[in-house]
Parts: sequence; structure tokens; C-alpha cells
Amino acid sequence: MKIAVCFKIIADYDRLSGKDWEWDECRFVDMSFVRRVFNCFDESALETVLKLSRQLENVSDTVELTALTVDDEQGDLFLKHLMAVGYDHAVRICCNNRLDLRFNPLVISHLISRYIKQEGQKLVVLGMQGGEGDNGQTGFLVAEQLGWPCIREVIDVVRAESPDCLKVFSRIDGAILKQTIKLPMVLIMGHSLNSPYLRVPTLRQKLNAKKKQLTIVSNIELGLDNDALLNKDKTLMDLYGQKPGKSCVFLEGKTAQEQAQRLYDQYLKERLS
Amino acid sequence: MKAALVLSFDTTSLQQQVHEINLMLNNISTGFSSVELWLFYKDRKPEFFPEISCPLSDIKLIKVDNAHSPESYLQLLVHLMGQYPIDLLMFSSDGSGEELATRLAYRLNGSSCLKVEDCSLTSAKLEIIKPVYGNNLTARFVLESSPYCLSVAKQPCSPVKMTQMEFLKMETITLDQTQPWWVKETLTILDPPKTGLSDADLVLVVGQGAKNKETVDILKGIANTIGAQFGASRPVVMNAWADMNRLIGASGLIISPKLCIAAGVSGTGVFSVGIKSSGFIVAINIDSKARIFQIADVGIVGDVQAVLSELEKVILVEKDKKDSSHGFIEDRTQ
Amino acid sequence: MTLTREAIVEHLKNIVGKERVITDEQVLKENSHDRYKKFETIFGVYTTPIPAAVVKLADTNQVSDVLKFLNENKINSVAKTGGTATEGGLETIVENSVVLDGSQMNQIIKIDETNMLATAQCGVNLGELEDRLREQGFTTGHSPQSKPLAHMGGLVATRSIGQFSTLYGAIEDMVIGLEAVFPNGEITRIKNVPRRSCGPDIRHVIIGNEGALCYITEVTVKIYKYFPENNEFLAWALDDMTTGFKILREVMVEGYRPSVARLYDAEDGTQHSFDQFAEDKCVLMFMAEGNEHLARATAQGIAQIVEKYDECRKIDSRLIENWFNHLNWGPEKIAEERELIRKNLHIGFTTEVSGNWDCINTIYENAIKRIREEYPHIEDLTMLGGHSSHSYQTGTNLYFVYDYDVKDCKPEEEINKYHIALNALIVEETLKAGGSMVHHHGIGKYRTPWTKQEHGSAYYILKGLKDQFDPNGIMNTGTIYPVE
Ligand SMILES: Cc1cc2nc3c(=O)[nH]c(=O)nc-3n(C[C@H](O)[C@H](O)[C@H](O)COP(=O)(O)OP(=O)(O)OC[C@H]3O[C@@H](n4cnc5c(N)ncnc54)[C@H](O)[C@@H]3O)c2cc1C
Ligand SMILES: Cc1cc2nc3c(=O)[nH]c(=O)nc-3n(C[C@H](O)[C@H](O)[C@H](O)COP(=O)(O)OP(=O)(O)OC[C@H]3O[C@@H](n4cnc5c(N)ncnc54)[C@H](O)[C@@H]3O)c2cc1C
Repeated sequence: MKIAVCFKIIADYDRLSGKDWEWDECRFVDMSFVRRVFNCFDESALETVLKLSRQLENVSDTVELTALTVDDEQGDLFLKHLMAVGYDHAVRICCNNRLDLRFNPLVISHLISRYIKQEGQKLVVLGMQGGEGDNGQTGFLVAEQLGWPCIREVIDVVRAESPDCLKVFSRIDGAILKQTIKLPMVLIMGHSLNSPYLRVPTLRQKLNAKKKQLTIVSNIELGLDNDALLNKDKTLMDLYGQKPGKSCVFLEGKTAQEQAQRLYDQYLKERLS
Repeated sequence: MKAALVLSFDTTSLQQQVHEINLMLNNISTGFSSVELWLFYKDRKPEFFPEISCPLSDIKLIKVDNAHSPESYLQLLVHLMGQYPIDLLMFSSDGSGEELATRLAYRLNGSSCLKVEDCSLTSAKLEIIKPVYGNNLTARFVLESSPYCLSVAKQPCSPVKMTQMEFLKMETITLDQTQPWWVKETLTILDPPKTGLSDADLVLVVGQGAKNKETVDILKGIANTIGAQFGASRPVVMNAWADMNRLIGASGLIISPKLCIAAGVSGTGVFSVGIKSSGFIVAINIDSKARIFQIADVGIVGDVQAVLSELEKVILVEKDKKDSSHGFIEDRTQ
Repeated sequence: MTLTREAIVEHLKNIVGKERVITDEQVLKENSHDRYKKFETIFGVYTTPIPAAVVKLADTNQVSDVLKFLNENKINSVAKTGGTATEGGLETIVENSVVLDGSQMNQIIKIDETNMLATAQCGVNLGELEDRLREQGFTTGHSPQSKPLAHMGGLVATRSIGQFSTLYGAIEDMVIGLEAVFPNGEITRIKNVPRRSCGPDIRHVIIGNEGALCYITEVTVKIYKYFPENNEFLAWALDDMTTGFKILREVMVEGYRPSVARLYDAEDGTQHSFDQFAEDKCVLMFMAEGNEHLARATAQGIAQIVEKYDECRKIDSRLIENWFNHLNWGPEKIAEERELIRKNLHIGFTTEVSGNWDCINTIYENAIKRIREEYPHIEDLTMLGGHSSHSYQTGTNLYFVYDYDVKDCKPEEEINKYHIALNALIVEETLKAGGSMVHHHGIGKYRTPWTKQEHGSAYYILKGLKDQFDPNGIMNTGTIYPVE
């Protein structure tokens, strides 16, 4: 079975302080000085599929895993990492760098679905949200373009009895839904307690991965010219920062006991009654 | 401009969803020529309706056969839009609303946007405001093509009332729906009952600074004695120190208790959006430069467990005093 | 006659009051080990004997009374403050040991701006002391990664070192005076003077004793003016460590004193995401600090030296600054690490050594080579690298870092199968090349097989200290000194 996981690399926002949130005249925020990380939901998706592929390999034919990102060269390092942990193919779809794809899930999903159609994967897994745009739409749109069913807020996926099906666990209003679904399908990962982190490759795996080739595909090769990548859906007019912070009053006190007493006397007493 | 609100009667948070939509309507409804309610239902036809803050021109009750299948809703919506074209559709803030907004806009060549906090009509264009960059920034967009499909942003809990609306024009729509042939088997495992966290007056939210499951358990106990509901940041639930339904933030609950104590959380954008509109925020963190202090009214630089254990003691002493002066023991357990 | 566990607890309660004697099973278990056995203990396995009690000490007199009692009854004690020890120093390897917890002796006694001194009790957290000082425009200059967690007593007891050591020195360069209690109950104070010529410097009997000679109750360190606004970061990518060591040496020998001078190999850099801007390269970085003139001159001088090397490519200093600002380990990082270990059965350890300029590269190359060639479970390793982070006129340190998947072994077997074996190879290679086997974590309980080799003929002096001050051997048995 051929499976693709789509992921996005984002700047680690947890490492930015309030004052770092500034943007230039094109409304780009400079984050070149913070480390980049896998978006957390995508990381879950990547690990979940690795676990799934182990299960499938035990029963069915060969499993072929593809990790896919739409990014510039900065994505390569992460793709190599994914090759080391067990992805067979690492694919980067590259576009003209000057194009602003941040708020354009439609175009991202076009690129992804074209690649999937070309390569014939039967399962596509993506994370549910994250990244600059916080769009939360890419997975749905990939499903639309492929014309496949789609399950959102997936927490786990495991092998089913029948080889053309998978068992999918997802969160819905007030319950967890366990469905057996026939392939093909798009899965959108939510909070996965089973696979929160991606595994770490061994030295040997890293070394072997170095020898493997990444696949770089341009939008043109996928049949989408630069004009097709423009955002015809919405136009960014402006960005706004956080409202100025409150002026927090710090409570002094030598011991925790003093601090707690002061907190209670000055602030909590009236509010707790 | 014609608008429709698209909701599911059977969801557990209908009244909250309508509250969230009402907030949005407040700014824009005057620009609408009509507003309809499109309400999906499963088995029993609704008799009571959530209070919507602007006058409705019509209610369409739409029977859906398979409540778990987004495809069923989408087919119905596409069909309805063919019959009764609408310019702007507002969807709920939950995953279902987000999915339907996105996929419907795609099928109808419209524009969609999720987590919309505000929208307005300026010279016949629809402008929306939504959070971007992990809730660290907010962006204003113009949406280019109608129909516009929006799902609204989550808001703190304030469910609207249910009422009867007999005088309204009401239509019931039943259509044939194709079964989702790709689903072979379905089983639902019901969640534990709701926690009461979303509308509590006093909440203690704990972050990774709590260090381990044992401490988190102690802190849960403290929350219980001081009469607070317990919330947690993402690492805390991902480490399985607390249940998923305790998660606060962009991908969890948005709360606004009268008093919120945030302990051992660093205060990143995605977390802070979850507690920002609380009446009063107390932050406890060992790092005096932690970002959480920027949204706090009062800050304590100290260890979560040490400060909260002491606070528990203080509160117990005060409670004792009060109880003995009242001559009875108040039941604060929940 | 040896006292029973119960009798020990009773006596202790009489001395310090019963609320200060903790015998809760879980607390005792947690106090039987330190981060050396982090793997097995995360899985709830405790292989070290559980102590009889943890005593929360209130003041110096209690320390004295308790030690006297333990000494008279030949009961082993283990001193503890912040609890971040990494080398087994906190392991209670003797049955019915008593843990002497000084973390509640946590008063900052005095900040003396005229003489530039800060005096703190042993249980003062360094982070707290620093925050207090910085509010007033001062710093101790001490900044180990464990700053948010470690306490003054432990920091002195291990001869710790901070990230700004190249400018401010290590703890032994900072300590001016001390108060310590010896096993017989003797309370000794070493006064605060700038320098003196009155016999050997007895501070060094206490600094670095790892609880094996005496209990440190109070510490006075010097303080510096704090000018963070002048901090300047500089960084370069380069091909190999040899050049890096050469440059580090040149910077030091030319007399520059950057507060930070670090050299990472490519493997180690990867775990800090350096590969995102210097893939397959070593990274060399500096921070110039101090008053405006000094900081600027230092930065310029260093840049001039590095730029002579064609191999070096400049890196955006903001990358390094942002990384550096998130380097410290607070409790939340420890929590994160625990969960990662638990979920992925994946763990990391370090071994830190030092050597003169003429042998440091040999140590680096030989140790890595030997592990690659001889270590039987090399397949389980996910990372093997190192960095230098503390440089001197005469040489530098090396911090070997290795991560591995724990495979096919019980939790309690992990340490032997992996860390102990790897650590041994590094220590052997270091000693062979003429370096020192421990740079700043202390010998603890697991590098004692090499203590004699490390000190050679000078072991006579080291041994003499133990015989003199702890003749009953009740001070942290098995630490620094091998169990005979
Ligand atoms: C797309 C996306 C969505 C996300 N959604 C959410 C969300 O909805 N909710 C959410 O919470 N996160 C979310 N996150 C994760 C978020 O980015 C942060 O990683 C997370 O909020 C950090 O949690 P924390 O504050 O508990 O932990 P940390 O960032 O590790 O902070 C721990 C804090 O505790 C303090 N501390 C440590 N020890 C003590 C002590 N003894 N006493 C007192 N204080 C102490 C530390 O100084 C630190 O500030 C999301 C991330 C992404 C990418
Ligand atoms: C994440 C992390 C990062 C670290 N980074 C650094 C670093 O950058 N530089 C560095 O040097 N070290 C570092 N360490 C090691 C450790 O933090 C230091 O060794 C520190 O000095 C220990 O201080 P503590 O208060 O935690 O002592 P403890 O862990 O409580 O004790 C350490 C040792 O000192 C003895 N001891 C403790 N208190 C006393 C006392 N009052 N009298 C006599 N003996 C006593 C103990 O018996 C034990 O042998 C790091 C550790 C961790 C976990």
C-alpha cells in the first residue's frame, strides 16, 4: 500500500518573545533566527503512520511511505530525517519563493492532490492545524480535490481485517468514533496520545539516509504555473499584534506562605466569597 | 446580502455555538437583507430553538440520515444552495462547522475562512478578522468570491436560551441521501460526562511546570478543595497527566472564569487565547520573565506546588473561620 | 552496636523535631538516587537501598547535631540541596543512610555592594540569587544550565561551572568564604578576604568535596556589575574540530575573555538544530560581555582571529542568541525529558572531561573512534558527538554527548549496558592522553574506579583529607573515594 503524510515545518513560536512579533512591509514576520520544528499535529501524523506501516507489513504486501512537504530548501533537512526514521520517499514540492502561500490552503492542497494523483497513494494523512496561516483547511481541501472521504480529528489508525480497509479512531462531538473505512481516504490528525512524538533515528539509519535522494518537484512539473498559485480566494489587508499586556502586579514575599497569604488577602478574598 | 446560519440541532454545544454566532451577527446583521437558520436534525424534529440575536426570515429544518457523515451534510447543502442561493453562510466553531464551511465553499467556488472573530461588509466586500501565527497575531482579509462560508471562532462559554418560535416561517426538508458506502462499520464510545470546566467561576490551569503526574494529581486535589475546576496545557494532557477534556487553548477550550489561576504555564499565544478573557488572572511561574505574566493581573514568582499548597491552607483556614461563624458547614465539593 | 532503622529515625526526630524527619516511602525512594539512574527510576525501579530518613535541616546547629549523632553511630550520610547531581553523588548505597537535605536553609543572608559580596545559605537556589542580584544591577557570573534548579551548597560541593566561565571563572574562582560542618559536629567558618598568604588555601578542602568530607552550610561569592545590554554574540560554521580547537586556543592565548566560548561538532550541533544553518559543520560561538569598551574590544578581537581562517563561515548571531536564551533547564524540561524517555525508550547521557591544548583533539578523536569501533551496542546509538564549552589559557573541556534507544534490556540493566560502558571508554581515552576524567560534574560514585589513576601520586593528599576529616567514613560513602 502506498501512503503519503503531508507535513509542515514551522518556526518554534514557543521560542519567540512578545517583542519578536513584528512584520515587514509585505507583512512577513522575520523568524529566521528561531529553530524550526515539525508542526505538532504533523509530527503525530508522521509517527502514527510509521506505527501503522509496521502493522501492515506484518500482514499485507509492501508498504511504501512518502513524506511530503511544500517548502523551500529549508525543508530538506527534515525530509532527510524522515528518510532516516523509515519513510521510503521524501518529497518536497517547491514553488517560486516570492509567492505568499501562507494563507492559501487551496493552492497547497492543489499541489498535494496533484502529486497524489500522479503517484497513486491510497491514504493521505495530514495534521489538523498549524503554521503561519492557522488555516486548518488543507486536509479538507485535499479530500475534496481527490474526491475521497475524509475523517477529521483522528486520534489513531490501525489495521483492519480486510486489507482494503483501515480502522480509524476520531474525536467527534461528545464521543470517540471508531470506524472501519474502505480506502482511499484522507485522515486529519488531531491530538494523538499514542504518538505525540516522532521517533529518533539511530546513527546507522542517519548514515544510510544520507545516501538516499530527495525528490524535488516544482509546481510547473505538477501542471500549475505561477499564476495558478496566486491567492484568488482572499487578500490579506493587514496584521495586528497582541493588545498591550496588562500591567501585572508581582506579589513579593519571602516564602510561598507569605505570597499565598498576600494573594488571598489582597485579591482572592473578595473574589472567592 | 442574504445570510444563513448552518447548525446541527443534535450537537451537545448548540447553545454555545449560537452564542458565538450571535457575537458575529452583532456587527454585521444590519447589512443582510435576510437571515435564515438552516438546522440539521437526526431523529426528532426540533421544537425549541436557540435564541438568535437578529430577526430570522426563515427556518429550514433539514433531516440528515447519517449524522456522522460529513458527505451527507454536504450533499444536502449543495442541493439547498441550488434551490435557495445564499451569499454568506455561517458555520459553528467546532470541527464539523470547519469541515462543512471549507468543503462547501470548494464545491460552490466560494471563499471560506475558519476561526473568524469578526466580519463586516465594506463596499460590498466581506472583510473578516481571524487569528494567525499561533494566535500571536490577528489578520484582516477580504474574501473574494461568494458564497462566503465562515466558521466562527470559539468563545468563552455563554450558552443562549432555547425558546419556541411558532410565529416563524418554518420548512422541513427531507431529501434522499446516498449512504457513505466507504464506511463499513461504526462504533461510538461516549465521552465521560462534561466537566463543568467551560463555565466554572474559578479555574486552576496547570502547565508543564507541574513536573509530573504525581504533582498534577496533588494540584487536582488542591483545585478540588478550593472549589476550582481543573484545566491543563497541551503538554500536560499529551503526557496523560490530565484528561483531554481538560485542555485549554486554541485547540482545546476557551474559558473565561471570574478568576483563573494559571500555574506553571509559559503563556504562548495558542495557550493564552484560552484564558485571556477571564475576569481576573493570577499567574504563578518560577520564571519572572515568562510570557504568561503579560496577560496576568497578579503574578507570583515561585514554585507551583509550594505556592498552591500554601494557598490551599490559607483558604481552608478562612473557610473554617467562616463556617464556624455561620454555624454550619458549607458543601463545596463538586 | 549499629542502630536499627527505627531507632535512627527516633533519634533524628529528637534532634530536629519530628516534622523535619521524612519517612514517606515514595519520598525515600526519590531520595535514594539522582539523575544517574534516571532511566530505571522513571520506570519505577529503585535498585539502590532506600535511606532510613530524609532530614530537612533548618540551620547550622541542626547540621552539627545531626552529623555528630551520625558520626558517633557510624551511620552514612548523604548531603543534598538542589538534587540535580548527575554522577550518583546522591545515591544512598549504604543501608539505612540518612539524607541531609539543606534545601530549606534558603536565606540570602547579605548582598554587600561595597565589598561586592553575596552571602547565601546552602539551600538558596542560584536562579533566585541571580534574580535578586540582577534587580540591583549585579551578577554572580555563575550560570550552569541547571541554574533554575541547583542550590549554592551543591554547586560548591561539586566544583560546578557555568556557561560564562571563560570570563567569570568556575565556582572555585567565585567563592570567597564559607561555613561548613564536619562529621564530628565542628562548625568552621572561613572568613571573607580578598586574598591572603596564610598557609594553604583551605577553601579548597571544602569546594568540591561532594559531601564526602563536610557539609557546606553557607557560601559567600563575589559579585560583578551586570551589563547585559552590551552582550554580543558571534558565531561561525567550520569543517572540523581541529581548526575549532586551534581558534579557541588562539583566542585564549591572545588574552581575550569572552564569557562564552563554545565549539560543537556536527553531531552534537544537530540536537540543538544547528544543522538548520550549518549542516554537517562544526559551530564555533562566542559571547562578548562586560562594560561597553571591553565587550566591543573582545568581539572585534575575536572576529579578527576567526576571520583569518578561510574555512569559517559567519552565522547570523541572532540564531545563536535565541538558542542560548533557551538553553537552561527548568523543571519543565526535566518533565519533558521524562516523558520522552518513557514513551520512546530513548535517553541521553554525557561525560565531561578536560585536557590541555596539546591533547584535547586526540582525546576527542580517540574517544569517538573507540566507541564507534569497540562499543558492542553501537547500533542502538542515535547520537554520538561532543562540544567544548569552557576554555582556559592552557586547555579546554570536552563534553561528550550520546543518546540511545534502550533495547532488549530491563530498566535496571540500562545503565550498565549503555552509559557505564560508554563512559568508561571516554574516561580511559582521556586519562591515556593525559587529560582529566571529570571536568565539572564531580566524581560521584561511578568514576571512582579511576580516582587513583586520575590523581597519581597526589592521591596521598586526597586520601589524607578523608582520613583526617571523616575517619569513620560516614560522609557520602563511595563518593570521590572508591569503596575499599
Ligand atoms: C498548532 C498548535 C496548537 C496548539 N494548541 C495548544 C493549545 O490549545 N493549548 C496549549 O496549551 N498548547 C497548545 N499548543 C502548544 C503550545 O505551543 C505550547 O507548547 C504549550 O502551550 C506549552 O505548555 P506549557 O506552558 O505547559 O509548557 P512550557 O512551555 O514548558 O512551560 C512551562 C512553564 O512552567 C514554568 N515552571 C517550571 N517549573 C515551575 C515550577 N516549579 N513552578 C512554577 N512554574 C514553573 C516554566 O518557567 C515555564 O514557563 C499548540 C501548539 C501548536 C503548534
Ligand atoms: C539539566 C542539568 C544541567 C546541568 N548543567 C550543569 C552545568 O552547566 N555546570 C555544572 O557544573 N553542572 C551542571 N549540572 C550538574 C549539577 O547541576 C551540578 O553538579 C550542581 O552543582 C548540583 O547542585 P545541587 O544543588 O543540585 O546539588 P545536589 O544534586 O543536591 O548535590 C550534588 C552533590 O553535592 C553534594 N552536596 C549537596 N549539598 C551539599 C552540601 N550542602 N554540603 C556538601 N555536599 C553537598 C551531594 O552529596 C552531591 O554529591 C547539570 C545538571 C542538570 C540536571
